[in-house]
Amino acid sequence: MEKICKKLIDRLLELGADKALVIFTQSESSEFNLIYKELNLLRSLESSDITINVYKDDKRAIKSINQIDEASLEEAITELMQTVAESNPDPAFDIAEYQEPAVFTDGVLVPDSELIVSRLAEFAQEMKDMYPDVLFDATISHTHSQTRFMNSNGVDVSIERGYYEFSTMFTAKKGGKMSSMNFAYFRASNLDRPCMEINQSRELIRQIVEQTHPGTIPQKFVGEVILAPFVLGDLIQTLIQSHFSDNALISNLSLYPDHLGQKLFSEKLTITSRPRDPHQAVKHFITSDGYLAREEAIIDKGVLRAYPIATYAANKTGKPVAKCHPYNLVIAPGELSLAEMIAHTKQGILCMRASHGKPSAQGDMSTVAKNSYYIKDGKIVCPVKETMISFNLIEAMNSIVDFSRETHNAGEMIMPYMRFGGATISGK
Amino acid sequence: MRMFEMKQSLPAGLDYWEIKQQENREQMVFFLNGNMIHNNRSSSSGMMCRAYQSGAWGLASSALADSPTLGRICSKAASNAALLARHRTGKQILLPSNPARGEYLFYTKKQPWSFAQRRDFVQDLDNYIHTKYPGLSTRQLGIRQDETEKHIITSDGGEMHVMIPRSFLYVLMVDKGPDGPVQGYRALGGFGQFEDIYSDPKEVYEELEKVYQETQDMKDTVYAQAGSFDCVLDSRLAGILAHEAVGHTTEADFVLNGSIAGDYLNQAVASPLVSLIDVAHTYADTICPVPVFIDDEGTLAEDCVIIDKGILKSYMHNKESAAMLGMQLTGNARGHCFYDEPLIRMRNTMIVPGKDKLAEMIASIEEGYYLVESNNGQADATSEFMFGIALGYEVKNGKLGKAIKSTTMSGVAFDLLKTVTMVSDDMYWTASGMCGKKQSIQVGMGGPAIKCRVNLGGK
Repeated sequence: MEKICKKLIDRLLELGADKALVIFTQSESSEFNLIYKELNLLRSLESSDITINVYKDDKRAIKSINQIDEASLEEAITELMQTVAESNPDPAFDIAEYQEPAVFTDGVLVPDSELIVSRLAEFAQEMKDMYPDVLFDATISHTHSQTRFMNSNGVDVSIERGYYEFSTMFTAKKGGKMSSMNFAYFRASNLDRPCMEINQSRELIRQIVEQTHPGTIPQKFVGEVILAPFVLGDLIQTLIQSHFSDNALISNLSLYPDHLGQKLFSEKLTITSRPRDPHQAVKHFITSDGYLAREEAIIDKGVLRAYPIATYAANKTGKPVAKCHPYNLVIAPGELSLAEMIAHTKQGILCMRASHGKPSAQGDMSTVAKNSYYIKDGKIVCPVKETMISFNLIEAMNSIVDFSRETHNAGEMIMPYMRFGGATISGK
Repeated sequence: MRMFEMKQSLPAGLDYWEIKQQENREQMVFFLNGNMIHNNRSSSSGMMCRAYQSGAWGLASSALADSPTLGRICSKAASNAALLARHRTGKQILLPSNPARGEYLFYTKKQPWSFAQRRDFVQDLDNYIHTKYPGLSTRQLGIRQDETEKHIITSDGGEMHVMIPRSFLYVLMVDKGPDGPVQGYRALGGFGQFEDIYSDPKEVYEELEKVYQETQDMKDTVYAQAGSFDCVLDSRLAGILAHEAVGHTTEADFVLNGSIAGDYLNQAVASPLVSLIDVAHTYADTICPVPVFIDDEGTLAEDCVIIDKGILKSYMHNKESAAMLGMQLTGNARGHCFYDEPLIRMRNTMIVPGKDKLAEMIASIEEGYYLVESNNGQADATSEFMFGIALGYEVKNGKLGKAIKSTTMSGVAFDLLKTVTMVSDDMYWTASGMCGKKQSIQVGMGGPAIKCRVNLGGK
């Protein structure tokens, strides 16, 4: 891999490029699929991908290919040099500055296929024995990848990693009624524990059976919402994407384009990117530019501390290159258990899954509460159906009541439950 | 794609197999406020073998396209199937067969444009927007062309070689509103290479004006009221209704996993005004956005009439689901990349147009909404669905009012479709969609405007 990356960069510079960047990844994965409750499909995949960026006279062109023979590589760089010449200049294009070369190795590099089959069989058996009303598919895969990231300024990073991935989709049918479908998913560095025992998998499957018989809730009220960790993680990504990302800033879509150091959200909110967190199975060691990613609080006690943006957006907006990214995000757990949070809720929804569109630039959004529960006077009353929660994402992050002690580790993000107030909830 | 002789490494002793060689290609040029921010090309190619033995599937793939690699992946696919078969307890099924052979290569017959011509086309439009609408804070314009070329052979006699192109022009306008930025967005284009769809930038000016007007409408918005209302869903929304709300529930793998549609076959699930079809390749003598003539299992692709005048008539199938449910093959098995197994995927899912006029449909609403543009959607096995609404308007006493802020509409498809009282006589295809179901894949969806009862989020 080193030889190919070096050769491509040298060849591009020879042909007149000012700068070049090459990212070369090779991977193998094995994927075992339970379909219709039975082992059904085993996939063995090998793949390669080379992305070549070339810079000349403040112009940039990018080509991605997956063929690594000499003729294909030469064809790609010849085409790149032609298209970069016909591109338009923008002085904001640049590559990462020199840094010391780095090598990272992480996770289990060789899959244990027998263990995968055994974990899937164990999962299927418990599902059939304990939850006969539940219909399900499930997959466990292992991926081993090697990535070499090099640029013409001397950036040279090698990453080799291996991780397991589990996902299951399930729904229940009971007494002529059926539930919504739900999912459980995580990436992990090992399969030491049964899949049912990781995160809330078993609880989500238990819940799906009772969700076949939802209850009736008031037609419309303003109340509190407890977001499950998966839902919170999704909304945090949406918040960052909407206001602090490369595209939000260069497209003038952010409400907070020049707000570094300003308090934007509740002081209870701290969002940290932890690319070396040993608890996370898939660590994003570098930024999209190739800088070694730093641990960084993007939001610290409600104050915006960093725009996690790459070189182009930084140059375009006059901001510093962040050398951090919006991945491996962690929100620290709170003091209360989920049960205590529910007990402290007068009226609201425990939102276990959210089905929603993009919020407006101002943060207005509505979501259908799926696999969720109505809470009244500190107690879960019933699963809900066809229930909509309307709120403003920014106001929600300013109306945080608390975070739970329990967290959910999906392998690339660790989130607790979060309670906030002021949402409009409408049932049917 | 460099074509490779695939028949030389056929695996023996299997109940069924298929071998695929595929290349996905993409070109993209984007401008932001006059600067070219993306000038990207990509291609991804390789081979895959999928084998079926004793009720289990094995698959192996590689980016390499040579004889030793093909032999190796064929052996690996067979051994994968054998390994799983040893752990299975379920009964083995006999896969049905309706093989077809054909070549469908949709390269443009016009003189292909150079990169510089494509760049100048986008730049011309960018200059036009900059001059005509100088107050905008951001304008983003881009073109993208994707091409999927596949060569597949199957053990039951199917063989196909296809090249399906799609080309799009994307427009984003951002303006300053009283509460922050507002935006208008459109993806234009569909089936064909770029030269098949565009020739002169002036042909796009009318659409640009509509996007600009919608952006201006978003400067003065009101919250939708939360609750259930009579609404007109514009034809731009009909496709996502067909795809998300009904289509997914009638994919036979969903049915086998408990979809509510499994309980409703040959029952009324919609107003008699509603007919819904997953079209294989051609509707009203026109090639659809994502034409499928032969599917990735070598099966002849045929239209699947899902709802006929309100009655649920059929599901979409691959070989395995058709065998398990004892139904006819439909040709819906598709994989997105060379390494992807064929899954049951929609092709061009549409609601059949009716006889009403859009203006009369809006005029018939006393208090409700005209919902125009969606930015995403999700489905559920219960047929409960949701769409994000990016553009919509109040309707009061039959007249359009102010635009509404972003919201979400939801419902239970088989309830909502029973409330349909009017169906317009126009037809709009949404061609830029990608559907995510394990693999993200190109889909077409379309239909007319419909009047129905809808749940909205809001204040």
